[in-house]
Amino acid sequence: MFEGAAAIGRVAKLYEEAKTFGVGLSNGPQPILKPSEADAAEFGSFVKGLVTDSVNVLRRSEAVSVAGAQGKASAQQVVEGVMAAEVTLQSAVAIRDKLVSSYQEIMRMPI
Amino acid sequence: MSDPLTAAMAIASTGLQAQSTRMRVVSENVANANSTSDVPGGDPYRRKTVTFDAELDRAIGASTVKVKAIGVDKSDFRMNYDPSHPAADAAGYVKMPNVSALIEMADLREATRSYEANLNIIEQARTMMMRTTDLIRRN
Repeated sequence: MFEGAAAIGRVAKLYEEAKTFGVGLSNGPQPILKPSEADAAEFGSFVKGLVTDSVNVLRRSEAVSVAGAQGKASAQQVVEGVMAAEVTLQSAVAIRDKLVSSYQEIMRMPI
Repeated sequence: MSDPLTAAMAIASTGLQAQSTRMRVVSENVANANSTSDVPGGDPYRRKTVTFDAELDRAIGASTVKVKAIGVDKSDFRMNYDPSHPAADAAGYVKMPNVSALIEMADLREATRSYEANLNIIEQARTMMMRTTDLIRRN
């Protein structure tokens, strides 16, 4: 799940490049940043992997909760499953928020 | 599942389960402290013991705990003089279970403490994970 760090790093790099983009315009036209096709595909698959992972953990937690209600799983197993789901969900949401805010930051840039 | 904190939580969870089993065995012993045989001179309930064993969980690459075996305490039975009891032998003695309330209470207390220790590990590991996630949440 934490392959996300690489993606965040790329976003951060783009952001840093973008911030300094307008600096030193007097030196003539700057090369324009062009996101490659591969970058877009990689980002998409990263988000997809993140979401799939989270959904799988949530599903497992739900299954163990149901088993617990039926008396098939111990209270400890239910708590462990639910807590794993909680932590996964929290980090997934946090990473998503971070990505969205990075995107918005870039969009707000004065051009 | 190579994340150490997630692994810590999974390991502590097996600790909780092991200690619950121990609690169950103590409860069996206490409940059967007066269970005698129903035939004259027969053996009464024999105290159960629980042993633990480390087990390598390959999925998380760490040692978890499991209940190795629920064995029996082979010590001698208490002899009670009670000729009217259905399980009394020819001399009027009844074999009583080799359960000592004192030992069971000590075991119970130990199980409770170990359980609490494992709960604390889960709590702390979760706090550490949550606080780490909070780093990217607040900016």
